[in-house]
Amino acid sequence: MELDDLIMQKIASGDLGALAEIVDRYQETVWRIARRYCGDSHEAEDITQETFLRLLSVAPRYQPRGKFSSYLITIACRICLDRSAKKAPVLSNELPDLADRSPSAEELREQQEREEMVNLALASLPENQRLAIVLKYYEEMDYASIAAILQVSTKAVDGLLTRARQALACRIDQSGGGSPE
Amino acid sequence: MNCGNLSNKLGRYLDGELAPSSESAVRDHLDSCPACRADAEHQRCLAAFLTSSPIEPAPANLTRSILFEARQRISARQGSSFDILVDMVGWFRSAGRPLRWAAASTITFGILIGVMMGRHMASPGEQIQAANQSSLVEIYSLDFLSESPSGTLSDRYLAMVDGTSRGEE
Repeated sequence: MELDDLIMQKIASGDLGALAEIVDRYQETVWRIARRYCGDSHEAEDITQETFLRLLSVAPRYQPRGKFSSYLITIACRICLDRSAKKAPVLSNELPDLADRSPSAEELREQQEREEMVNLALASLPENQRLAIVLKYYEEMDYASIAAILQVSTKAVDGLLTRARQALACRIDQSGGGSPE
Repeated sequence: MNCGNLSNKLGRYLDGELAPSSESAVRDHLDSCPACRADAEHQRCLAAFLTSSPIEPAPANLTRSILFEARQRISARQGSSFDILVDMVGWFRSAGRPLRWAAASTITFGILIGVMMGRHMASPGEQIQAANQSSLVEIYSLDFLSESPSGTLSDRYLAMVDGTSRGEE
């Protein structure tokens, strides 16, 4: 049995120290996925918190099959999808205005523009395609892992990623200045 | 391999998901086809663009807020008698047959003992109470009310005392 599986057993008995250990190990991963998926830090914070709190309720029924990290990411992805179903994504084309024009501020602005463009492009994708892109590019997962998390076939993952790439390229080209080429 | 075949496999090739034999076929085609090479380069740029903006780390207080909320939920769960019942039912379901029989026998035995003890302890008390209640009218010297006409307040009071004593027996 893996260490994470043993920790899950402790969480099942209400051991907060064990939960703290899991949070410490996987918080950044869950945060990154949530943050990339929803493009908003407050929302990402809620998703991350909900993911770990859900461990409390599922821990008594947890059966170690495969990697724990995939199990946790699956929970995070489900929460992302559930939240998307409840509310439409907020697409804003407005960029934050920076009054300070010093060189460092200019760099910061460029960074923010790029970030905003990536967020907008990702937000324009359907939920499953967005999750596939997040798991592929930001978590560097292979197709089999993504398929297991999204509960689809590897062929379906290929299809999701192909359509997502086409849509992203169009979106980035349309927004101008941020062409990937 | 033609350009149509390649476009179906390009994504998997760039993601390192192709079998070695298909991979070399794609590589050969890309070497000979400038248009497909441009497509491949476009996809590489897209990937680079997507990953070019680093994401900020998780907020420093996130761990604390997760654990605070978890503590609240655990406390609430421990305090709920319904959850205790659910836990017991869960234990009963997961326990083996001998353990189930042992638990069921213990509970039944406990209930039987409780009923027997209850009966035994209740008997003397009931007798004393009955004796006391039968003489309530005498104890409180309410005999003088027995001649009151029916329907009067005194008659009702006497009926109430009498009725109460009967109801409690």
